[in-house]
Amino acid sequence: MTAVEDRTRAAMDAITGLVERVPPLPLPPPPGAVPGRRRRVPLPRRRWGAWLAPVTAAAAVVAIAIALVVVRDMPGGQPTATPGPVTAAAGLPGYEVALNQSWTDTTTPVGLTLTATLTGQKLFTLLPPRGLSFAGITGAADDRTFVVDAHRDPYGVEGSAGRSRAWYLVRIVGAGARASLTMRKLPIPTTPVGTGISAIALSPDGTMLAVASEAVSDNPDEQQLLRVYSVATGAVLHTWSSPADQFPPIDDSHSYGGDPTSTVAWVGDRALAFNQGTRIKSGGVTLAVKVIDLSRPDGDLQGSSRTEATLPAPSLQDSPAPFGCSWFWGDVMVSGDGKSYVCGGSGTSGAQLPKLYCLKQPTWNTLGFAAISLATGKLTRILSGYRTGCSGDNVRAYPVWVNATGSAVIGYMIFGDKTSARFGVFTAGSFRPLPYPVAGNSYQYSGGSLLDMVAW
Amino acid sequence: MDSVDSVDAHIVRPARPPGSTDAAACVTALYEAHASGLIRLAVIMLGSRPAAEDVVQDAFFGLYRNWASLSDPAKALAYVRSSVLNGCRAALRLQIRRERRDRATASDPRPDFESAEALVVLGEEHRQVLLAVRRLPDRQREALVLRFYFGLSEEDTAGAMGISRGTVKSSLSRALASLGRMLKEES
Repeated sequence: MTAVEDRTRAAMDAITGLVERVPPLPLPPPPGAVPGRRRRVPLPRRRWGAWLAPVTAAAAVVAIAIALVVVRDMPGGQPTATPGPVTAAAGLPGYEVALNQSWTDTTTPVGLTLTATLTGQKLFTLLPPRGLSFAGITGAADDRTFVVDAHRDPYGVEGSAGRSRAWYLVRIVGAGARASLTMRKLPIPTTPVGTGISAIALSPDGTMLAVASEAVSDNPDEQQLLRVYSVATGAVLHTWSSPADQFPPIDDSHSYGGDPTSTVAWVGDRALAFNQGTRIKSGGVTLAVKVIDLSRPDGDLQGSSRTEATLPAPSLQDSPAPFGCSWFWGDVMVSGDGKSYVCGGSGTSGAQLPKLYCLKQPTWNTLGFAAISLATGKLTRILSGYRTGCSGDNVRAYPVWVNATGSAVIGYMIFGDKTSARFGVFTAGSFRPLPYPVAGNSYQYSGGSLLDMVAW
Repeated sequence: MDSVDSVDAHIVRPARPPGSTDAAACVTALYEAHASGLIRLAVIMLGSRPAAEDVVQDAFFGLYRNWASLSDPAKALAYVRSSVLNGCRAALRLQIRRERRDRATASDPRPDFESAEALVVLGEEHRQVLLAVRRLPDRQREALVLRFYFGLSEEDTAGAMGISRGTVKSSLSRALASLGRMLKEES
C-alpha cells in the first residue's frame, strides 16, 4: 500500500465521525394509494447534529403536531388543486418519446420508448443503432417528428466527455395502441470528438435543427456555437458564436451522456430564443429573453440577437420578491403561436392560486408557471401554480411543454419536501397529474430539465 | 462506522419475497442499515452533508417506487448504490451549473468543498486529502471511493459504475497518481 493510498483511506475513514445520525426516510404513499387515506409521514429533517437537545426535540414534536393539524385542514389531506378537466382544446400531445435510461443499469444501450401521454401506456420501444445509445431528443410541433442523437457510450462513463454524435430522424407511424416508431439516419455531419452538445431544438415544422455546442475543455474562453442545420440535406444554414458562459446555461451533462435540450427554443419557424442572466447594479439578477432571427447575419450571437424581455430573476432565498422566472434553472419555452415565453418561477404574486402547505417558512410565496409577452416584454399572467411556504433551491417549477396559446403547460413542480412534487398538466386553476415519463429517476431532486430525456 | 468489509455483508434480505405488500418495511430496513454509509460516500463525492442526505434519500425513494419490479431483492443494495452514484453525478451537474451561473452573473461563488461545514471538523491533513479527492475527475473519484472507502471488489465497483474492471483499475491508478501529484504540490 502506498503512502498516498494510506492517506486517502485515512481521510475517507475520518468522514465516519461526521455522519453519526441519519434523517428518517419519509416514504411517500404507495402508488395507487387512495387520496385522503394517505399515510402521514414526518417531514425530513436535513441537518442533524450531535448537539440535538431535548428542547429541540420537543420543539420538533410540537412542529409536527402543528403540521398534522394544518394538513387536516386540507380536503383529504391533499392540496386543493384537484385534477381538473383537460380537454382536447388544450391541444395536449397524444404521445411522448423518452430515452429509456435505466436507473439501475448503466451498461445497456439507451433506446426510445413511445408512450401515450395521458395514460402512460407504453406503445413501442425502439432500440438504438447497433453499438450506440441515444443521448438527446427534441420534437417538432406535430407530435410525430423527432430528432435524436446517438453516441457509443450509454452513460458517458467510458471514453472522453465529448463523444461523437450521429443524428437520426424518428417518426411516429400509425396511431393509438398500434403506433410505432421508425428511424433513419440524417445527413447532418457527425459531431467531432471533443464537442459537448449543450442544446438541441427541432423547428416546429421539423425542417431545421438548432444545435448549441462547445468544445469540451478547461479553457474558459472556449467559444460556444449555435448552428442551424437543414434536416433534409444536413447542410449548415446558420452559425453564430459567443464567448463561453455568455450564452447560458450550457450544461455539463456531456459528462454523463445526456444532452440538454433546454436552452434554446424556436419562436415559430424563423427565430430562436435563449435566456441570459445579467447582474444588475443593485446587486440582483435579471433574466433577459433573447431572440435571434434566422435572417440575421451569421457570426456574433450577441450582436445578432435582440432582447425581447427583461425580468427580475429573484433568488428563492430572498423571498418575498416580485414573481420572476428562474432563469438559470428553467427551460426556454415558447408557445406555439410564438407570442409568449413561458417560464417556471416564484415570488410574491396576486394570482389566486391554491395553497400548498409547507412548514419550512411561514411566509407564502407563489411557485408557478408564467407567461411573458414577447411583444411587450411584460409578464402577462401566472398560468398556474401554488401558494406555498416552501422555499430553497429545491423548490422549483419546470415547464417541459406548452401548447399553442400558452394556456396549458406540461411541467413539474418540486417543493423540497420530497412528498408533494407533482408532474402533469397545469392549466388555469387546475392540475391533472400525468404518469412520470422517465422511469426510475427521481425528479424530486432533479437539477434541471427533463427535456434531455423526453419530447412531445 | 460500518467496517469496510461489513458493508456488503449487511445486505438486508427482505423477510418476504418481492411483490409482497410490505415494500416500505424492506426499504426502511435497508435504509436503516446502510444510509449512514451511503451518506458518507455521498459526502465524499459532494462535500456537502445536506446534499448527500438528499441524494441518499432520493435513491431509497427510487428503490421504494420500483420495488415491485425488482427481480432480485438481494441486489437492492447494489441498485441503491448505483442510484446514489447517479444522484451524486446529478448533484455535481447542479453544482457546476450554479458555479456557471455565479460566473455569468459575477456573483459571489458558493462556498466550495474547503469551506463546507462538513469538513470543518476534520484535521488539516484529512481535509487536504479530501480536497484533492474532490478535484479528481468524477470517474476516478467514484472508483477511489467505492474501492477504498466502501471496500468493494473491482468487479462490484465496475458493476456500480457501469464500466469494465479494466477501466476501474486504470481509473484507480490514475487517481492515485493524480492525488500523489496534488498532495506533493501542496506540501
